[in-house]
Amino acid sequence: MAKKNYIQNILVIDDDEFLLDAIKKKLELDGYRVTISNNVHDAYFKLNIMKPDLILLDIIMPDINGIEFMTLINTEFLLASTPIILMSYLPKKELYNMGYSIGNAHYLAKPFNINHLPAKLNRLTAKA
Amino acid sequence: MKEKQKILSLVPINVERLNKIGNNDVSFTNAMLEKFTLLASECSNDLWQALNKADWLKLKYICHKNIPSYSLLELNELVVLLKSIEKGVEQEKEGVRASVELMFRKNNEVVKAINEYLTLRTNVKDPHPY
Repeated sequence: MAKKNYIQNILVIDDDEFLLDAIKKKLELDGYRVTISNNVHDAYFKLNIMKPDLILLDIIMPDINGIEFMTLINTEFLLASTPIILMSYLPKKELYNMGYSIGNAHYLAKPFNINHLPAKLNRLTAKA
Repeated sequence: MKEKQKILSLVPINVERLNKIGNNDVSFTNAMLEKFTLLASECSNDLWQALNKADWLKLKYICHKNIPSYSLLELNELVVLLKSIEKGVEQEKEGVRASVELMFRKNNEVVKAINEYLTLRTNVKDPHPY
């Protein structure tokens, strides 16, 4: 059953495949269409062929971190109006200390209970 | 009922949380448990390799990457261990060897318990509610 609100297609990018499978299952059962990527190269490829309504993006990944990837895809795929939720267990303050700003993106602290994820998504995106 | 309780007591993880994620889809829970045993073995091997190469950045990354999965299954003791290795890498480097060794042993115990649980579970006619 597809969701009735404006968010239907979600792209989840995380190098933790175990977590990816759990998130995909939970969100699909909640009515979303979910695409997963376990690296930014695959995610970049998928963004060429799909337009997600929401992106869940891990911050600490090999090759390029989530914040840099967010800047890249915002420019290349004109995703300024697409909500992006950055996930990390680094506190926001530590990200700032590392010189990163999450800009207009939402922030979801890891670890989180995946059973609460649909409600969290609703809350975060409702504030947008 | 006794048999179910015995099986449940074997596994040191929160199976109920996985059941809830998959809406009591037994095949999903089994697949996730099997996947976790591979992840845990890989985690142990990667930690050893990084430690032996004194690749501290990789050691830190492996811990960071795996913490959410271990948290998902509420393997809290191992989460604490991963966090201590991650932090220890920044502070004392060689001192993390003992923690990696302990992680290796604990991981083996968890993998063994999950495999035993999966074997027993497949032999029970009614696998619910666990």
